[in-house]
Amino acid sequence: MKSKVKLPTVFKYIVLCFWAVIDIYPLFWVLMSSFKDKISVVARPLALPTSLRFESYAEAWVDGNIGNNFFNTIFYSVCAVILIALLSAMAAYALTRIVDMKLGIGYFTLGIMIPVHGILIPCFIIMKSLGFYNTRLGFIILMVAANMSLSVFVLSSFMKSIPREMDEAAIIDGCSYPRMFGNIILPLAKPGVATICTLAFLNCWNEYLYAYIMLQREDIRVITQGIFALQGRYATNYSALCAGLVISILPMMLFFILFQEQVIKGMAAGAVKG
Amino acid sequence: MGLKAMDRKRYVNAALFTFPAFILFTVLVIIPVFFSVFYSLTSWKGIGDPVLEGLDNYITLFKSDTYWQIMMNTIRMLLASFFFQVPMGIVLAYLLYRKTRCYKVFRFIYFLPVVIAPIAIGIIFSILFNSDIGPINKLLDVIHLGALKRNWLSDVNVVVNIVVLPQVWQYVGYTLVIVFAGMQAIDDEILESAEIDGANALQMFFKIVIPMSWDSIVVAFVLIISGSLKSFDYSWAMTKGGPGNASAMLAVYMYKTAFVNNNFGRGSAISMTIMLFSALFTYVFKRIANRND
Repeated sequence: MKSKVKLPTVFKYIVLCFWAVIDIYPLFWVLMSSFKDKISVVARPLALPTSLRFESYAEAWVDGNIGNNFFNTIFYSVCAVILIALLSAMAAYALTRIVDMKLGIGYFTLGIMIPVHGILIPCFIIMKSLGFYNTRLGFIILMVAANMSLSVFVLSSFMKSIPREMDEAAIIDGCSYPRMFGNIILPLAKPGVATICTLAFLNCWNEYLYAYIMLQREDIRVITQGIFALQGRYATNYSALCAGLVISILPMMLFFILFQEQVIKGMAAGAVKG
Repeated sequence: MGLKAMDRKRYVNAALFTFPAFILFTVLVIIPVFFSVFYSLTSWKGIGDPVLEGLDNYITLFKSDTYWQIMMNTIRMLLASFFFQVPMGIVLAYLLYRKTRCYKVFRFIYFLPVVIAPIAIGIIFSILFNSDIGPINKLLDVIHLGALKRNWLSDVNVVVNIVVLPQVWQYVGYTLVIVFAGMQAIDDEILESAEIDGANALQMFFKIVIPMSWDSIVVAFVLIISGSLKSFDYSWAMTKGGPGNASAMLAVYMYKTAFVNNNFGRGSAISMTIMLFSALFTYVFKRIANRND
């Protein structure tokens, strides 16, 4: 936009900075508190730490079991994202390129209107009766299913825009459907795949409720459960709790810094999900 | 290869490619909806076979004060987001939309909370508002407003207002991004000609920018409706819904009923009401929003 700024510019930047401070300060406070010892967090909550002290991190990582939770979460998220990308791309490919089946896509899209909390109890019971309760695989499968709808929706609208002539030429050359998928369509749909991977990764990393009902055993829990347990365990040790929070938040922050455009695009695509 | 054989090959391939996604989606998303309906009509406690009991669960819920109290908490969360999150998001989007220095820096900061786990944000806010050690009370002391100090998380009269804060705080940036995308779709020429006609920033905001990005604003509102009705993490992390049910949201009530009290029938009925009210509010809101269009 080339228009000259007519708003009182100073006022505008005051508003912008005001909200920026509101956004940053709680996170900054957590970071600063994680460097303090547990007494000065309570005694002087508004002061800056006197030195960079990392003992709270060790405490949270080892005693608080956050280290174990951390690697579990990475493992689940990576597995789930790969499966979501592969399975939803296959379905979207079949329903838009092999056959043109709007009904099939419509079926998957139904899920966009179903809030997870509406199906939490039956999901729990189904997974339990199938023997997936309290297993790593069970949680991964649930995450894949929960993200399927939106992924198929995004990918199928993406694949629809790839020109048809591609397929016809490939078929005439005797290319099989799986090869067409792997060599032609999937590479062309890469931006769409990146969008759904970003979104699914965020969803998996930040998931709490599904994990809470599905993963009881301490050694398979995820990081959101880990920090929640810290809150109970360290009712008086706020610096360890803050260190745990930083450990859980930092990977997503880095992820966001590295893939900023992608994340925002993914979340905007996720906006269709009610 | 004949045409028929080719056609068969096509369908077989299509079926094979769709199968894994179809099975997972059907078993863990579609079938559970029907199960939810079924369980909600029983008083199943997790042992033995569920027995149908008609609408008993719903009648009990709708007659209980607890349910409506929690419903009001949930609506309060919804309204807080409607009246703070959306206007704030729109204003910030407009300020960024008008040629702004450091646009990317601001957008990064505003969107940052969106990528953080809601449960983590709930925990952060529970520390900030902790009445003994939290920095909020300390800050009030420092700026000589000690009289405003409260037991934020245990005072029945204020706790629900505190529990709705993290959602507003977290998703202003989300609203901003959605609405900003809507604003970007507006043709620059319209704004330029309005400017030549002497429209000021406020007039352009209300007469052009808001109406022309209305669709995206509606999307932001609709997201809040479903988001509030299924909100769990903040209330759970900050107070576990307490004291009593003073800060419980519908999803917390559903969780406690089903997984703490093992009343899967009643819990399912609550989750059905979450789905139904979510659909109803969205429908009503869209009707109103489009009438004003």
